[in-house]
Amino acid sequence: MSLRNPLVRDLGLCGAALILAALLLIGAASLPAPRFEPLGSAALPRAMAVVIALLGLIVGIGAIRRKAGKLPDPEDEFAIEAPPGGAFKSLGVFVGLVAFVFSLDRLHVPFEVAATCFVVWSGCVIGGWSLRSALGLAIFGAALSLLVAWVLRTWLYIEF
Amino acid sequence: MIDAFLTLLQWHNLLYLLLGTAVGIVVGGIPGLTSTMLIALTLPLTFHMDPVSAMTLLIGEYVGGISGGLVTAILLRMPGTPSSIVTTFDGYPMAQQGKAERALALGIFASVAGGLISWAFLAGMSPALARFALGFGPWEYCTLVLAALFMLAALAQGSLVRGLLGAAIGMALSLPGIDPSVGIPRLTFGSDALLSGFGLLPVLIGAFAISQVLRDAATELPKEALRPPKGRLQIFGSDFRKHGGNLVRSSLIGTWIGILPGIGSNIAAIISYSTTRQMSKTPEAFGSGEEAGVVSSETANNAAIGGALIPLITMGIPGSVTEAILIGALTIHNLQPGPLLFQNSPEIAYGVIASYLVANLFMLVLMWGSAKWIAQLIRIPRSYLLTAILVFCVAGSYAINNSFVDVWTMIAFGVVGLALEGARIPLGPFVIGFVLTPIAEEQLRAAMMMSGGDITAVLQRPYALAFLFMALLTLVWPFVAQRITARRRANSKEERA
Repeated sequence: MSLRNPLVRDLGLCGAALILAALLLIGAASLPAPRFEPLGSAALPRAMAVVIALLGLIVGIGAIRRKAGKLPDPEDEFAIEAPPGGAFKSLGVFVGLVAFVFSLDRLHVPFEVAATCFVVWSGCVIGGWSLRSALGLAIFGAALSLLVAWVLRTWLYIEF
Repeated sequence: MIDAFLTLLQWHNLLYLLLGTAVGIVVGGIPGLTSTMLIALTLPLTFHMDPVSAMTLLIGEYVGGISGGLVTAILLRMPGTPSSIVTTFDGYPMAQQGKAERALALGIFASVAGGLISWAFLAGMSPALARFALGFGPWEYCTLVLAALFMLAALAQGSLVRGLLGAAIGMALSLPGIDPSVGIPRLTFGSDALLSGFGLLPVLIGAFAISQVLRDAATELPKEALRPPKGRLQIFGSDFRKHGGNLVRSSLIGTWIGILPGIGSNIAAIISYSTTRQMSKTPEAFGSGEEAGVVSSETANNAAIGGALIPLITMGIPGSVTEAILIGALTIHNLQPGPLLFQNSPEIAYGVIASYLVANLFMLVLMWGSAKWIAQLIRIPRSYLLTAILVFCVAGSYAINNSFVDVWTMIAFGVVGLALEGARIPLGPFVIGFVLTPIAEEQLRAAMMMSGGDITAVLQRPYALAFLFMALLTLVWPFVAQRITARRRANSKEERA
């Protein structure tokens, strides 16, 4: 989804809202009818589905009307001004984060090792690749992960 | 209240408050990091604390986080927190004119004054308001939450429709899990992981910390020359006379705006600044290094914290996202925010009030002594800072239940937060919708049971009707205001023609 194109962004939002509304309605359909109280479990999901679908449609129709020139473009207060390549940095850090958690959860890699690798990867993605910065980040990552693991084990009795 | 102060004076509580305030100032001083994110990240650590210590730590972080932003705002025109944006208007020109020490001293002095005046309202109004709120029944609570959500959606940045959509999505995502009223799974789609719903903490850490770090990773701070102040920070007796009226007025504006749901410290600073400029004899001087500008902005943004704590502890209604997280902190410790807090756990209710006062005093001492050093925080490389935050996020989310489900939930909500902001949907209504829906649904279902399914019973409850009217007015007013403005413009055009 392109954040710079308001039409694509708003239509994407409208689509996501409709999908969420559909999921709420599907989920609510399998709930039993109220027995001991007037409202029941399905009332709020159904109401929220209607509200979300309605608001999503308003956003979508507004985007189409703006494109057709019938409505003025609102001031874009939330425009994300990222430098060129900034989105790739975010993506790189996100991929590193998912790999970090996956390695802990599924591969049972020790926290200290996984966290150090993650710090080196993400730090280099954000700050730029060089042997010197990777070394600095590796030392920092090892110290940080040892400290966090020690606090978790000693004070909170938590083991990864 | 005296008991609360005595409890707070125990060394470990004082230490937590000092630590919270100091860490808050540091985080507030780093552009891109906010007190909201800090409080969300600290929440898992408070599990093992007693509730008074936990709230003390979080209140310290809140006060420090809002105040710390003024240093980089003045010295670098880079507000450490959004609430310090207005401080840059006159603080930075003052620093450029060689009056950095004066701007910092006035900013810190104004922050403390705003905090102390709003504390007086917090301490004076809260117990009475809580006694009044004790008379509320399910209809009143349900409509109050509705009014708060509508106000929040209408007053948040962006359009009303997007604010409402954000609140509705937050409400919808709070629904999966075991339905507490009848004990059956709802919207879990057969997944065992969803039986307990989306945890509050992973959602908060994901929506605020993860999404913010991912956003910050994509942006670069402008490289401005840092000129740390060299002289001493000083305040004179004449400053009280010169800025006294401004301090009181800005504190009142900040406190009042803090009480209203969803507006927050940054808007309080903007409104207070424009009011001061309008009332000034030299409005043209504002924006070029006017002392009153720094004073009004910093007084109001700190006073808004005290104001926002009033509905939080008296009615359990969060005024902003940070208060929503504080509600989460109370519920984690099995405490019900609202009027019963004063009755059932007075040590917590009064503890919050006492902590707020002492945190302001700690903030004064810490910031007065360390303003020069806070400015240096800007030099910490982002590659170290952001990755360290992400490691804390993963460790903190895992520590909640010793479960990776919470960590994956946090990552998923990080993406949700990023996507919502990308789609110009403010996160405030989303998170508050998520936090308040379980309370609102419980109250609505209780109200409907009491009235035998008759929804018109709400019409017999005057306070509930008043809250409904407020909600309706909030919804309709933007359209009415738009129409009035358009008509005025058309009339003035006709007159000119």
